Amino acid sequence: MSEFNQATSKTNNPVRLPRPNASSKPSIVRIVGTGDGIVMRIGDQDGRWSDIVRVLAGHLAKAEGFFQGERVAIEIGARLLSADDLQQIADVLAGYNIAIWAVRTSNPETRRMVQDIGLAAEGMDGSQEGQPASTGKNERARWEVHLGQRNQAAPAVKPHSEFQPPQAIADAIADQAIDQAERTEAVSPGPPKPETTGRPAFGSPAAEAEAIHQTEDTDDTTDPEVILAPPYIFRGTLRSGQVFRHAGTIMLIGDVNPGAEVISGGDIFVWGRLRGIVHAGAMGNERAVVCAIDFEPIQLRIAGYIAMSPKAVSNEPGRWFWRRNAVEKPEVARVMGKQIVVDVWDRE
Amino acid sequence: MAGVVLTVTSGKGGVGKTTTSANLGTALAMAGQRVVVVDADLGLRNLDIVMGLESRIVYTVVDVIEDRCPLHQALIRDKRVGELYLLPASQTRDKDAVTPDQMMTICQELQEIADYVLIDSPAGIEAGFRNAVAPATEVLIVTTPEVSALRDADKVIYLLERDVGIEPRLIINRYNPRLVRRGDMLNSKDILDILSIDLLGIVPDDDNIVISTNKGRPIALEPEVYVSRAYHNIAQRILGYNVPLLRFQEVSWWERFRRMLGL
Repeated sequence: MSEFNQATSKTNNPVRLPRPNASSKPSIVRIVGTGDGIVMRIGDQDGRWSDIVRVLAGHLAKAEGFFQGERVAIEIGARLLSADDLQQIADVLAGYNIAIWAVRTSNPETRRMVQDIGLAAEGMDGSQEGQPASTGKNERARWEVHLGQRNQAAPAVKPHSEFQPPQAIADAIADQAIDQAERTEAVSPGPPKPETTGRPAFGSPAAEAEAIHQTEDTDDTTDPEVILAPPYIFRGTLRSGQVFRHAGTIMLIGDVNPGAEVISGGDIFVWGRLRGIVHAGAMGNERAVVCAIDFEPIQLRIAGYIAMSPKAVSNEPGRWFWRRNAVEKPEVARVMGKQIVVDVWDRE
Repeated sequence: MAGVVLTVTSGKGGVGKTTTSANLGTALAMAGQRVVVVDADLGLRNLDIVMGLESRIVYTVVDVIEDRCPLHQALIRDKRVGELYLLPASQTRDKDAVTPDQMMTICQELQEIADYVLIDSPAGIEAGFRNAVAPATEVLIVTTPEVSALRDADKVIYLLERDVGIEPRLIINRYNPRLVRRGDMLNSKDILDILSIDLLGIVPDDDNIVISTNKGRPIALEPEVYVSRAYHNIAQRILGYNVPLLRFQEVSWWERFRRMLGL
């Protein structure tokens, strides 16, 4: 159907096709950075949906991966939208590794559809969430991303209280264009980019340092009170090569084997052996903790801090995990005074 | 009744998949089963050499897939034991010549005529591995007590559970009881702790295995040799008998002294 639409619009009225970058008149699609991330604003009435999708694709092609890995909200005004239409946009965005997290609309019909899919649906003024109105009044709070011009950094994505993992689309729409491997690799629906907040380059830690702190503090770290996603409880063994990502707290009942990774926006609890790599508070929450019954991670990260097991940097790094003298007590790691400190759990 | 398709795999290379396949095939055949051993390592075929059947290869698995010969014609009978057949791999074609579907078709045909179909998987987790595990009804993971082999085995177990939905069983190969006792090698409990799958058997490190492999005569053909018991025990366990784990033969200090002098 979409192809048919495109074909007719091409033959009958090519004039209506707006050029992406025509500066004289505003484009149908505008990509705007606001206080709560990137918003794609789509004109209210005019333009067919297939045209809009094409214009958007043009914008993104011009931006050359500028928005790569971001998540966006879409404002569509009073337009009536079907799930298929949204899927078209999602497909285009997926090609640039961009995820939709919310759709703002004043059309109740569309809003219901969006909620059915599992995305966040909001009114146009954003009043539902009590957020600052991103349209109109507070011009200073928002700034435009000029396409093709890169001297401004993309705004870091703030955690959002009604954050719904983009994977929820995949559940509702069978043929979501998510890479199959990616979908199976990630056990749980996860945040699109836990790495959005700055963290030190991987693999650079000095060998003798027990803990390495980040050189610069990121400004967009943390409101620890913000709940990113509900906790996720996983039962089973995480094996080498398995990655477990989740925006909220992760509770693991089972072992994390060497070679496996656990990345969480909140805390990580392992009711078993922890021997892989863990990253708690991956979105910048420095108050996140990592607990395990048998605490032997190869590498441990909390927010922007990295620590390595002292045994892993010893003279015999290969055998550290099987020649260990077990503490036999659960341990907890947290950030205290710019470094990661591991304590026995019962001290509290 | 359709037979069982057993795939022998490991992830890491050089841990003894081919040796284990050859010996287990022989041991199962000596236990009265009709066994077909399939070499899935296209392009790097070894199983025929280990079994000593290299000179008798005319057709290979690729010829069967490409309809140049019927299946029974490509099977090579090992005359030393009851009913043991080898379906050799091609040395000139590589893994892309076969797809998992074709492998499944062949194994379905073999299942009709055999009690056990043993597939010797290539190392790695790429196309060859997927070909080998696609038709499997059971998977045996071979690992050595080394951290690198364990890491790969762990990944393979994860892949199997994810893609094939099979809970594999474990064979620990080249186990050295002396090093384990000194604390210089992972013991079987450590290994099972990490991999957390069922143990099917432990094969000790033994010179006789290397010698027999080079001779092209699987050690399982000589039941009086001590290590060959390990393979026969594993075969018995595959058949469903409850056999206790092998008690490792200790080399006496006098024996070690004699070897040191080269006697």
